Amino acid sequence: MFAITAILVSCDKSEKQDEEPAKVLESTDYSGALTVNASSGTFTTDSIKVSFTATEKTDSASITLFQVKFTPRMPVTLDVTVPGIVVTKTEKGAVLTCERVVPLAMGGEFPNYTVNGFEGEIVDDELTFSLNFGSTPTSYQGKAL
Amino acid sequence: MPGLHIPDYGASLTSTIYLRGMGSRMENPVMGLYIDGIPVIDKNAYDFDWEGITRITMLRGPQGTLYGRNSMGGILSLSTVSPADDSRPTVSMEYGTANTTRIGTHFSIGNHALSVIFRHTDGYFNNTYKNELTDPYDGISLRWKWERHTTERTTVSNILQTNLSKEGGFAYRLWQDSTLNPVSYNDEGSYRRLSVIEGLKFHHCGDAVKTDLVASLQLLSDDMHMDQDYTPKSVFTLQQKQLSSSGTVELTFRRADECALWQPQTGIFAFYRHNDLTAPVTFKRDGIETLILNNANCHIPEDIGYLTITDNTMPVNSDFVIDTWNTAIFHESVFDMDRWLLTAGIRLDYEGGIMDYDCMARLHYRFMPTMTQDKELTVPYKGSVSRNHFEVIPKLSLLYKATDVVTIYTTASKGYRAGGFNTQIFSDILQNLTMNAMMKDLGVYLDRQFVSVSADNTEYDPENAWNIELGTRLHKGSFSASASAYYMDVRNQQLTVFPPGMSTGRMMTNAGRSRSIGVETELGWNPERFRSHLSWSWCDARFVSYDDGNNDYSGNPLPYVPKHTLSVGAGYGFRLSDKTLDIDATFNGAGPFNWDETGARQEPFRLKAGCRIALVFQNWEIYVRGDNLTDVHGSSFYFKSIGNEFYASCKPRTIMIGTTFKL
Repeated sequence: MFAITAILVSCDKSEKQDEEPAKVLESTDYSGALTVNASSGTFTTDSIKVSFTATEKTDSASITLFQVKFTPRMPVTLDVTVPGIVVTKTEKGAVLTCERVVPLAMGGEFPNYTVNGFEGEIVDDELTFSLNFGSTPTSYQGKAL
Repeated sequence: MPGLHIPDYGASLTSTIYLRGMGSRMENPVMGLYIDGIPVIDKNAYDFDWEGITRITMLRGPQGTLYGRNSMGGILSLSTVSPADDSRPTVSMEYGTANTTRIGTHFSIGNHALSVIFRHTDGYFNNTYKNELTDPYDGISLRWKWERHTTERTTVSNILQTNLSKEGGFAYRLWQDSTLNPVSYNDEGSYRRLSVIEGLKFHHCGDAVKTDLVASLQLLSDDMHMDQDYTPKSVFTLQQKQLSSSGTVELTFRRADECALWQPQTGIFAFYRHNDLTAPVTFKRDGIETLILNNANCHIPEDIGYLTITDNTMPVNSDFVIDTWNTAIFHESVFDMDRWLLTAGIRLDYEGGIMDYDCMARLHYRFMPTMTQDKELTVPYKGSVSRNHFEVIPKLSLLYKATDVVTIYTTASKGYRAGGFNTQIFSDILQNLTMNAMMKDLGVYLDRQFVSVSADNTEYDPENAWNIELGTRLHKGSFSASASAYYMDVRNQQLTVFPPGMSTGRMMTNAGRSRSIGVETELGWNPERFRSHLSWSWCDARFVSYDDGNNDYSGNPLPYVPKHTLSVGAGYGFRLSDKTLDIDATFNGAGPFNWDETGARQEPFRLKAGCRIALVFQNWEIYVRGDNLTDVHGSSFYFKSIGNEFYASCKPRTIMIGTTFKL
């Protein structure tokens, strides 16, 4: 009886390990300043919420920027998700990199604002990254909530 | 009746009454209707065909002390044929313009009195889009009264009144480029109603006290369909279907000795109403495009994309359960001091209500070009709101009998119109919630949110009015005259307003304060076979304060309220051997009035001529009568809907021929 129980517990553990591999970093929400170098000039918006969401892969994540504008006169704000970010763990956090990727917004892919030149890192409780949304250079610096 | 204005707003659903500057086209009336002493609770049941009416009593000004809610403008009390009346069975038939047919009868047998009337009309206004008449009517009303003296001192009576009708309606004409277009809309406009009022009256005359008990059960089942844009486009439609059941009871005690100097009257009143109401608004393709998508996409930059809704119809379902209750205790004393008559009374009136709402909007949307397939969005909206109000309604009146023919009186009295819940605004709330939910679902946020009121703000308070009046009455032989001047101060005025934000709805709110100053006069002279009457009123009703958030209308005249009402008529009965030739002519008019708060649209005073010529034999008569003989083209209603202006035209000339038999 003890042996059967031990086997079952062992199997259950190994299944859980298969389902939930250890993530490099846990999902975290940040709040900070978003700076956009638009053609009309540079503008910064404070208190922009960004969610860093670790995906099922150990070294993969997505970043969602909530209610952002890409020009000051834009009459709407958008939630934009940058998927496919590669997370490399460092001593104090992680380095974030990303190849050219189509962001997700408005219920699907949003090729007009294809992301390129993504560079970022998480150090302690601070997230910083820069990227180009299409041809619009954008940077972010925020602290964990 | 001077000052009384009951315009035709397009269907018997909307029995709008204006009196002394008060009234509104929505919700509670300013005038109470009593049939044989039984209050008609639901305004939707006010408009019915009359048969066997033996007496009409109009009490003008607030009658809140004895009659309570919804009597701030006055009371219209109808008495119907009774078994105790020594009346002969009567059959009447009429036929005329628009194939209008009216057949009625009333008679008494033993303890029973019965009256029945049927009316049909083809309608008067052609819907050019459908090429059919838009306002046909078929209705039958039946009243049965049973009355019995169970003892010398006790009378019991039972009154059952029903009305069943089916009609078209809402003959609204688009005003565009200074042209009044014919009625032209594509969706259904109809109204069906079953109204049942069952009343029980008990009267006992004791040695010291007279006791009256009046109880009633009332049922109203109606179903209204309306093309809300009133155009050939498929924009949006409204259905309003309700099953309302009410119970009322009133117990009054009066002094039996009617010659005593002090005549007290004390009573209690209670009523309960339960209403199941469903009011779905359906946005159709044109409405989805113009009211919803255009409204949303105009705020979204083209380079981001655009929103589409693939459904051909978008239902916004709104179901309500509304319970209303009222209890009151009242007292009125009349002191008869020779030439002076002092009346003082007070009523303590409590009213409460609760509304449960269960609404839902559902649609399928797609944001282009990012979304590749439709997504369903369901927005439920449920909850409950309540209201409670307590009113103190005093009255003080002093009458002086100057001579045997002249009396002078002055009165200060208060009345109120009940509060309620705005149900019509819920489609607007749902529409805005849906747009916000869809945007949130998409992760798109407009700088300007879709704004509407919340359900918590859909209740409105009672409107109340103080009336101060000075008048005189004169009666001598065949001549009678009366004149009165009044000042009314109306607080918490219930007004129909458009809520803030991008809305298609409208709602009742306590937005203003107004005052009315007026004069009413009636003359009658009926010597021998000649008869004549004149009734005229002048009313200046203005906002004392009303700011809807966009404009300040303080000082402007109240909309829909006629400055003058006039009815003048004369008739003579020519004796021709065994018969009489009766010829009567009347002129009725109302106006001018403003169609809205701004006064930008006005209706002039219009006078309509009518006549009746009858050949009267001993047991029967035959007659011809006509209304609006000169075919005056006036408007009875004006409103705006989604930026368009509409008018309802007055009925054209009608000629009827009829006969009445007394068996």
